[in-house]
Amino acid sequence: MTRVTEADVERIAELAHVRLERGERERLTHDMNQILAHADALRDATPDTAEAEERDEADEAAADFGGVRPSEAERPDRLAETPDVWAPKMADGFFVVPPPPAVTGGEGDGS
Amino acid sequence: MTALGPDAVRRREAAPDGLNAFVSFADEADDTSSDGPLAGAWVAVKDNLATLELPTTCGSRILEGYVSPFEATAVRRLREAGGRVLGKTNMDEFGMGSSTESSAWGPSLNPHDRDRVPGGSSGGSAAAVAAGYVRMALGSDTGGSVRQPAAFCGVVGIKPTYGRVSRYGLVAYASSLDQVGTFGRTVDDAARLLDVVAGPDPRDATSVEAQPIQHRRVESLEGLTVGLPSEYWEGGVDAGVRLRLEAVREALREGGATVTAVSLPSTARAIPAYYVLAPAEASSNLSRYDGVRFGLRTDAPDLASMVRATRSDGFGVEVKRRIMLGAFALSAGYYDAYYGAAQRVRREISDDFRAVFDAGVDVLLTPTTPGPAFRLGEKLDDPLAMYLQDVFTVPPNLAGLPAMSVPAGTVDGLPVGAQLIGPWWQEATMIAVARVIEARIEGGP
Repeated sequence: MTRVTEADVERIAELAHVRLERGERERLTHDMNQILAHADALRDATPDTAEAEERDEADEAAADFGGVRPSEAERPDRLAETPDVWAPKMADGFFVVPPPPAVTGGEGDGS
Repeated sequence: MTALGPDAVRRREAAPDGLNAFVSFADEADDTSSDGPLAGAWVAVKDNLATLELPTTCGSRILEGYVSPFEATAVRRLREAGGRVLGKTNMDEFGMGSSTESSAWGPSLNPHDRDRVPGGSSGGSAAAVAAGYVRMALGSDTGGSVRQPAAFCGVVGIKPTYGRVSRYGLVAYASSLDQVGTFGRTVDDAARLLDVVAGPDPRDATSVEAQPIQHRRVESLEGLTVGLPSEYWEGGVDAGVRLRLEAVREALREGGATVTAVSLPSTARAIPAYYVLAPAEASSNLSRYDGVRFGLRTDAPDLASMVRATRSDGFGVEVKRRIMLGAFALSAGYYDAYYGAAQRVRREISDDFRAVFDAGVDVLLTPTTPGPAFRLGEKLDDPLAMYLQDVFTVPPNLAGLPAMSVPAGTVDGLPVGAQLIGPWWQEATMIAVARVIEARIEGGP
């Protein structure tokens, strides 16, 4: 059973920031399918209710910070753009970061 | 202690029958040895432990020429104990391999048969000890990388309990599994080096304030229970290896131990779990190699292209394969099916071990590897076959248990290793049993 196609492998290579030549892509597709077939044994893993609850809590906590990032390659070339394009907040050419609670005596106000 | 220094070993390695065990040598004139338990001893250090005066390449082109601005705690401690670093040893790239063949600097050779691998990933360290270049060496063990090469080369290799030795300065492959380990010509050599490097370290939050190893020498194993996990003794083990292990089992029985069959039912799922978890951690840990901060940089028109080009040129095939596997296992839609399930299996494997030790077993005896050293190139085109070499060594890493390989004789001239696995923090019992095996089994030092 094919679990990953060459197109999947190309997408994963993008996530991993590696460039694959055609031969490499074909080879990796074959190898990954072979290894993932072996990993099917993991399907017998005992479901863990407590872990699932912990996971839900972790997901909720992560959601407060915008959630787990999507499976998209980060774009390091954004440094080619000026920071005001991608920085959450700037003033007078500087990044604005929230002060720590110890300074404000409570929650940072984001300025 | 051996009288060989860096210059003598360098000359031997330059000969046509050299082993390619080292990737760099210290300057013999830089003798900073002092008093201590290792006073004057030359020690070989795996090339993924940071050293100040020698490059730390991890067997990778992406770190070619990289010299760390700080030193690994394990290396600092061996120097403080009077030891001297002879050189850095060859290894599978970033610890990913079981043969040393994935090193960017070419494979190391097995001193017992130069057509065969020394094992991996710490193959250079094991070969250096087996060849008599040094009595002791440092390695690291993520899924068997100390024990498997120790078995293939006929030396002693100890992987302590996770947290026993600081990982500060050990270049990360899979942080929840990586542990610094030691090699020795004898059990005493490996244990002495472990004593020196062990102990908590404020620079590694996963190191533990555990009681130091309380060594004891025993004349008799009376009162000790040795468990034989049936899953490790069934099919798939080379007939010659099985015979040697049966001899070890009988030696322990004659030494007074009670030998009993036990079961670790989750063993078959250890390799699938490991080869999801370790690549997942590797894909994160190795994201730092971007052409900006370390070693190699391949020029390209823009930053994103430079990062991709650098990683593509700098990483070898096996590293790319594992990074890709890890990125896949962590990606949306597959996380629960692979990474989540592997974490659950990891817990089941720990529970299996805990049940056996709670039932009164003091130490487990298994083969270290399914067979003796294989031929160079034999498994290079079949990654799964290579991964299955780790079938007996991976479970203790997943559980964080101490384990070691001790020579158990030879099969057709090739060394075979017996693996001992102890309960968490009980290295002393495991080492005491290893001394009995060493004394009673032909083919020991």
